[in-house]
Amino acid sequence: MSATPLFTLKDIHFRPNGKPVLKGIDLEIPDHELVVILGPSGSGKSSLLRVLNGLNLIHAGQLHYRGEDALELDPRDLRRQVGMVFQQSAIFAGSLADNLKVAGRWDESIRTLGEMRLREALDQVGLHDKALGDAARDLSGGEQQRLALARTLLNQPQVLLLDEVTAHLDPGRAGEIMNLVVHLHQTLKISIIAVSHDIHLMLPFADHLAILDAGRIRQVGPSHSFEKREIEAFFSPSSSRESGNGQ
Amino acid sequence: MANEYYQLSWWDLLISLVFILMTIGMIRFWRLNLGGSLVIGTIRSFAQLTFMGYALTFIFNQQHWAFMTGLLLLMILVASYEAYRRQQKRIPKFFPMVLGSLTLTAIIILGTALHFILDVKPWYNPYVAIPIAGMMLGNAMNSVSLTANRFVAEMEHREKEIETLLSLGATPKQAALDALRESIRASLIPSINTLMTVGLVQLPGMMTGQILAGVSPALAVRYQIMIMYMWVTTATMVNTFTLTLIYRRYFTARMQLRRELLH
Repeated sequence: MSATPLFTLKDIHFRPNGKPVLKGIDLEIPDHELVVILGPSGSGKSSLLRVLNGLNLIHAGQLHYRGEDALELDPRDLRRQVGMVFQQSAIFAGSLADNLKVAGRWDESIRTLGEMRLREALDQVGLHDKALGDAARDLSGGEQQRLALARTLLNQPQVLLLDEVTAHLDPGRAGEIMNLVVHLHQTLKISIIAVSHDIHLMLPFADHLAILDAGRIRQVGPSHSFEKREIEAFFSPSSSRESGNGQ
Repeated sequence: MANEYYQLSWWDLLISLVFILMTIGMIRFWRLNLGGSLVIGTIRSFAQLTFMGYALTFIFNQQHWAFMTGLLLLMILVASYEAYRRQQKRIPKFFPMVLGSLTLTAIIILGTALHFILDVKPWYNPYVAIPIAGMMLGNAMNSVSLTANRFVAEMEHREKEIETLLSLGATPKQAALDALRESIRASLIPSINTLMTVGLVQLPGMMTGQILAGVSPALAVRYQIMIMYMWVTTATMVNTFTLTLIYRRYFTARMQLRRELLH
């Protein structure tokens, strides 16, 4: 079996407007796993995820996707393979079907999707009781996230990046979304990289864990190798983040 | 009767100051404290327009293609600078982009109007070329500055949508298409509305000016119709050229939205 990592990051720096956000990220993300990157607010989690999807410019460092230099790949191909769901997904005016087929503006395979396939896409994310013609902007926050997930999955990505997708949901809805994510991970065999600040929600689901703090990776490894108290220490206000020894 | 117009002497103009006196009376009635500004405005408008009258007399006597080309370029330069100055948010390289777009639009629109429609010979006849160019460039300048501002606002408003589309595999043009379309649509609506209501609600200034100067209303109307068609096309064309150049500045070569330009 190939042991090529999904992503390899070497000394990645991201400095929007000169302000350092990612300060030399070294990280190997294993393939076929559910990887969770935990970190407090402002630690650079979303920026890191956007680097993986190619939405953020890298100011220094190297990024490899499945052994290939990501900067050598066509950004559109990379983004189709590495789908992303945002913290607050953009929901377009129109129906659920319009939103599912938004990539059909340029992609023939999406434009020609039949009603049955679109129905399946909604069912896949648990929107069984919603009609394709319903107004998308009338959905609740959790339902909109599910719709965004379905829209991304129609691209048939091999990797799914989830940017705090449960941040605006109550604990019950957040748990439902994470159960759905695990189900998709297992049934579709896609790699998942989720970032979150919610230790308690994410820990039970993670195969692999990385702790990001103040733009640096502090600890990384299989989730069973972590002590919960150890992780919580990074989120406590008294932790000395900038002076801590990165591991 | 056509070709007959009423002379306006300096003495007649002096009598027209009665309008200003009436305004001063009303300003006093409302205690607006604007009398000083009105007097300065009155003197300035007199001095500026009198100067312009002599300048135009000089310009109209210059029957040379090089002079007219230079003057047109100067007018385009001033219009581009004014459009650039009116930007509420900095758009990288906006001035050269507008300059290029206005120049190309002017060549196409003025070329069509002077050569194919009016058949002006020589094309640089200042009595025709200057007023037509002035109206065209003034309209283009207003339209492009409003449209560019609208485009920036649309990009800000649609930031999440644009990034979602990029993340799904869109090119920058595909991702920015809604913002581009909405900006062009917004720029066209006032022009189309004017086409709908002209002659019913208002009589355009150029046409009334021609009639006052003795031109027959039938001819003045035909000029006005041509000018209005020209305006709509000018606005759409200059906005199309400019936006086609502008939107690219908002993305990197790796098809990333330059968010720093939006915040």
